[in-house]
Amino acid sequence: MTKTSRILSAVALFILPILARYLWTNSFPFLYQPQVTTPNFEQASIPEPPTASAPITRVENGQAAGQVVLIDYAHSNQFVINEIEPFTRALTSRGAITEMYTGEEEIDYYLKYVSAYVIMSPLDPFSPREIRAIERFIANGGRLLVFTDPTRGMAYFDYSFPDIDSANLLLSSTGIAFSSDYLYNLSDNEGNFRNVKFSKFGKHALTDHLKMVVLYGVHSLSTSSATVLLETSPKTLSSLTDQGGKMAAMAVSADGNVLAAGDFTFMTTPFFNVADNALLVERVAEFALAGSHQPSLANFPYIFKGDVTLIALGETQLTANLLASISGLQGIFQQSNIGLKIGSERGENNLLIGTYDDSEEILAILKQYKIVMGDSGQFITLPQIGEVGLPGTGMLFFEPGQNGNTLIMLADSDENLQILLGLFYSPELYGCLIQDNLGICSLGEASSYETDSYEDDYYYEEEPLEEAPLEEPEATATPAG
Amino acid sequence: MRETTSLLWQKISSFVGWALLPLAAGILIAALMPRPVVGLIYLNEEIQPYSAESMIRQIEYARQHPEVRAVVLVMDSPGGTVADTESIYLELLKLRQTKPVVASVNQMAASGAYYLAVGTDYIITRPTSSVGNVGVIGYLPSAPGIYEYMISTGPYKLFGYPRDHYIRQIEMVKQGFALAIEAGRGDRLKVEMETVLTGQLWLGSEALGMGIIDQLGNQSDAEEKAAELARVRNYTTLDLSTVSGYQPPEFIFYGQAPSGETLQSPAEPGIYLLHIPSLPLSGH
Repeated sequence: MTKTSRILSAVALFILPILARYLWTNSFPFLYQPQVTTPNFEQASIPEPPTASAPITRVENGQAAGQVVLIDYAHSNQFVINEIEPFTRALTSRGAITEMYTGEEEIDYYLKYVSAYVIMSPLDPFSPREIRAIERFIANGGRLLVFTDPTRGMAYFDYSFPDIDSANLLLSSTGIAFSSDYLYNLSDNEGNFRNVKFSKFGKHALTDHLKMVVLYGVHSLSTSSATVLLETSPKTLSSLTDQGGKMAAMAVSADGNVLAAGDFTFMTTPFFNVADNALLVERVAEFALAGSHQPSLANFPYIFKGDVTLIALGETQLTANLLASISGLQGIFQQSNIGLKIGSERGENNLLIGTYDDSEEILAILKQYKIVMGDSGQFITLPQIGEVGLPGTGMLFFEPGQNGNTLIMLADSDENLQILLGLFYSPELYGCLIQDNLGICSLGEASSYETDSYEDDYYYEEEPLEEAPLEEPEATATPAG
Repeated sequence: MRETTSLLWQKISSFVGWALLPLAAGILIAALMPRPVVGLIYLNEEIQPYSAESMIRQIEYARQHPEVRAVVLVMDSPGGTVADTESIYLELLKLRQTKPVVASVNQMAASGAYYLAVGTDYIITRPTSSVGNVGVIGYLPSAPGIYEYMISTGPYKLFGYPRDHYIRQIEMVKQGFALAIEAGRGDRLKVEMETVLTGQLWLGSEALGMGIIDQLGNQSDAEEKAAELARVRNYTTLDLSTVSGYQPPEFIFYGQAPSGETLQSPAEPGIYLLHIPSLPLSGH
C-alpha cells in the first residue's frame, strides 16, 4: 500500500464509526427545516365604538312638569338607581319626577297618580293583585316599561335565576315574552360578542331617526301582536339555540302602552354614549311621559294636576266645622305639593262643594248630569241607576279637563259634606259606588232634621227605650238595725 | 526466520498505526457523541408567573444544549394569565427556529394552554382530551370615582382603564389569540375562525376533524413525532425541569372563599386565557 492509500484508509477508518454513530441517530435528510410563522400582532387593534349618527339635543322644556314616573324597587330588582342616571336625567329634564316604589304600600296607591311605571330586572314575582292593578293602569292609558337584562338575575353555582320569569308573568296579557337567552354576534359586534348592534328598526316614534343602537347583553323577546322595535341581523344568534333568524330585542304592545326591552345596560354610563343609544334613551323617556293616563274617579284622591280652588256652591255656608274639614284637606293636598284656596271663580282645578238646595248652581249641576230631584226631596233619580234615597247620600261628579280637573261634592247636610270631604283622608272611595265619572256615596247617617220622615229601608229609626219604673228597694234587716 | 518475524511485527505495527488507531479513535469519539435527546417540558398546572418562568428556563436549556434536538410540550392545563402565556409562546417560536416542538395533550389544553399548543409544530391529543376554549376573560374594573381619603393624578390612575375601553382591550387580546392560531395552524385549520372563537372545548377526536389538532395519540407518539421532525433516531428523553436549575415556588392561583373552599376563579383580577369549569353538583 502506498503511503497515500494508508492515509486515506486511516482517515476512513477514523470517520467510519463516527459516521455509523451519526447515521444511527440521524435520518435523511438530516437537517431540521423550521417552518415557523410568526403572527403579526400589530394587526390586532382596539375596536372603536360606533358614534352617534346625529348630536343629541337635550330637552329641558318642562313639557312633563308634574308627571311622576314610578321606578320599581320592590321585587328584588337587580339594579341601583344611579346606574340608570342617563334615563332618570332624561325624565327630570322634561320636568318629570321620579319616585321609587319599595313596596311599603300597595301598588294601586301609586298607580293612581303616576304616568309611567318602570320595572327593571325584577326577581320576585308580581302578585295577582299587583298584576291586576298594573293591567288596569295600562288599560287606563298609563305607561309600563319593563326592562330585563341577561347580565343581571342571580346565579348560584350551576343554578341561575334569570330576571325574566317575573317579567313574563307580568307581561302575559300583553303578548310579549322574554326568552332566557342572550343574543350574540361573533362577526359584527361592538367590541364583544355579546354587545349586539341593531340597525333594523320597527316603525314607531321610539325609533325615529335612529341609525344604529347597541345593546350590551340582551334577552330576545317573542311576540305575536306587539310592534317589534329592534330586530336582529341574520348573523346575530340566540345563546339557547346558537341559531339566528328574526329576533326582537325591544317591542311595544299592541295598545301602545307597554314597552319591553331585553337590556337596560344601554341606558347606563358609559354605554349610553355609543351609537344612537343616547337618542334611544331620550325616546324611552318621552315614551314614559307620553301616556294618555286619563284622570277619573278611580284615581281618587289623586285627581288634581295642580293647585285647587275650593268653591262653596249655592247656599252652602262655610261653617266652623266645614272650615276645619277644609283645613285638614289643605294639609292633605300639601303632602302632594298641591295648594288649596277658597274662591268664587273657577280655576284650572276646582273642588266644588255644596248641599242639595234649590240654588241655580246646584240645579244646573243636577241638570247637567240629568239628575232629577224627587218632589218629596227624599229621592233623586239618576240616569241608568234609578231612584236613590237622598238622605245620607253624597254625590261626586268628576269633570276632567285639558288643563285641570273639577270635582263636585254634594251632600244632604253640612255634617255629611264634612264626611264626604273626609274621603280625601283615605286612599279609596270607601262606601262609594263609582260609575264612570259619577260617584254615589253612603255617608252612613241621614241628616237629623230629616229622620222623622225618613222611610228608606237602609235607615231606620231606633225605637226609644222605654224607661222601666224604679222599684222601691225592700228594707232588709241589718245587724245594726 | 527472525527477519520474517520482524517484518510481520513491523507490518502489524504499521497496520495498528495507520488502521486500528484511527479506527479506535473514531470509535472512541463516536462513543463520546451524545445520543440525541428529546426534551420534555411538562405543564400540569395553570399558566402563572412561576410556571411560566420554569417553562422559559427549560426552553432556554433546550436552545442552548445541542444534544436536545427536539422538545415535546406535555400539557394538562386550563390556561392562565395572558402575559405569561404570551411570554412562553414567544420563547417557543424562538426555539422552533432551531428545534422542532410537538405538543402532547393529556387531559386538557384549554385557552392559554391551547395558545401554547398552536405555537408548536404539531399537536397530538388523546381522543378524549379537551382542547380549545379559545378566548379571553376578564373582570370589569370598577366604575371610576374619586375618594376623600385618596388622591390620584388622573381619572384612571386608580382603576387602570375606562370600563368600555377594557372590554375593547379584551377584544384586542382575542384578536392576538386568533392571529396566533392563524399563524400556527395555517391551512391545517378546516373550520372558520369564527367557529374556533366561540370558545368551545372540543374532544380530541372532534378537534382532529376540524384541524384544531394534527393527530390522536399519546405522549410516546408525540416523542416519536418530535424525533421525526428533528430527523433523529435512537433518541433518549429528558425531563428538562430536572436540568434547568429552577424550582418554582408554590403559587396560589385560585381565590379562596371565606369558608376555605377553593374558588373556580383566579385570586387576582386581570385578563386571563383560562377555562373556568362549572362545579359538579356535589359542590353545592
